Amino acid sequence: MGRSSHLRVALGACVALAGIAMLAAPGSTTAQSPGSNRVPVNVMIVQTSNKKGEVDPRAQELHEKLKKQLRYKSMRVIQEQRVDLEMNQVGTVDLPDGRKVRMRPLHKGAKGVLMAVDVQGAVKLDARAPNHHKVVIGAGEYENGNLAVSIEPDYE
Amino acid sequence: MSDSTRSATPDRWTRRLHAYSDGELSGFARWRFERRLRRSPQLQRELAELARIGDWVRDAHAGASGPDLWDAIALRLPAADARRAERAAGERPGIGWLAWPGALASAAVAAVLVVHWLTPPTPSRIGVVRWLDSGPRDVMVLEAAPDTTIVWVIGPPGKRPARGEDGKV
Repeated sequence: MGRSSHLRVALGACVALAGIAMLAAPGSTTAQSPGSNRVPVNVMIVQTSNKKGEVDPRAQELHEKLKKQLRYKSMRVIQEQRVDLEMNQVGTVDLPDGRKVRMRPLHKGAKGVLMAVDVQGAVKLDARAPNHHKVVIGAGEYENGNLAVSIEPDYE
Repeated sequence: MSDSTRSATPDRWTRRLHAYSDGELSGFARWRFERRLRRSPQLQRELAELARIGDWVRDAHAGASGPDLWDAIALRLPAADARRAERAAGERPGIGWLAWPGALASAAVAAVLVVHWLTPPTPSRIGVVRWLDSGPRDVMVLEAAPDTTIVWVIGPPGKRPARGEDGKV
């Protein structure tokens, strides 16, 4: 085999490797789960309080994320719900004070789910949340503490 | 017969003798020469001499022909063709000159893609929250962790949250 033949083989191998890497890259469109328009969302409503108390074991993971940023002494879970939404479908979760949290997935892509969220009487926002990324929204005061709503896309 | 005629005649018959010996006479000229040949012992001797000389020449040619080299030559022909083809390929201005740069560029692209593939995704600088409306209330957006974003509404408008010594809201 001549020198030029070796070079051609090396060139072909590099091109093939580049193609394989491109197909396997996580940002590529082929790496996404194809087709599914369903966006299940885990919703957890908690109350944080400055009264001495415990952290609800169900909220332990959330507590680990929030404790460095927010000041509270106890956390209890008021409601836990999995909302299975389709694209552009509006899901509603009731807060304990009668207000509502509405969420609507607008787009699902490689960078996550773009969702419109409306916490009634507090804030409206659009967020692009990667899968399993928690968006924790303060929903205002409630019974000598604060309400917080955690929204987490959880799809395959 | 004059001298010129006598000397011309043998030349003429000599030329015809050579032509007859070579088989170049035909028709009437051949008939005339053969009639002359039957009558002329000298011509017959000369014809015999020519025939003998021809045999010597043929023998000499046969003896001079050496061993048959064609087989050896034929064996070398494919190798010569292959060498010629390689030279032509080397001289052809094709894409051969692209081999090294192409290989290096492909390797670089492959390396970038592999590194991109192997490294964990970094959080986007744009952030998770793309748009927000809290009305008259103040709001804070905190990236609490790589997988957690906090959007915290703080009290009535204009009232800044009091951060503690630990920096918490």
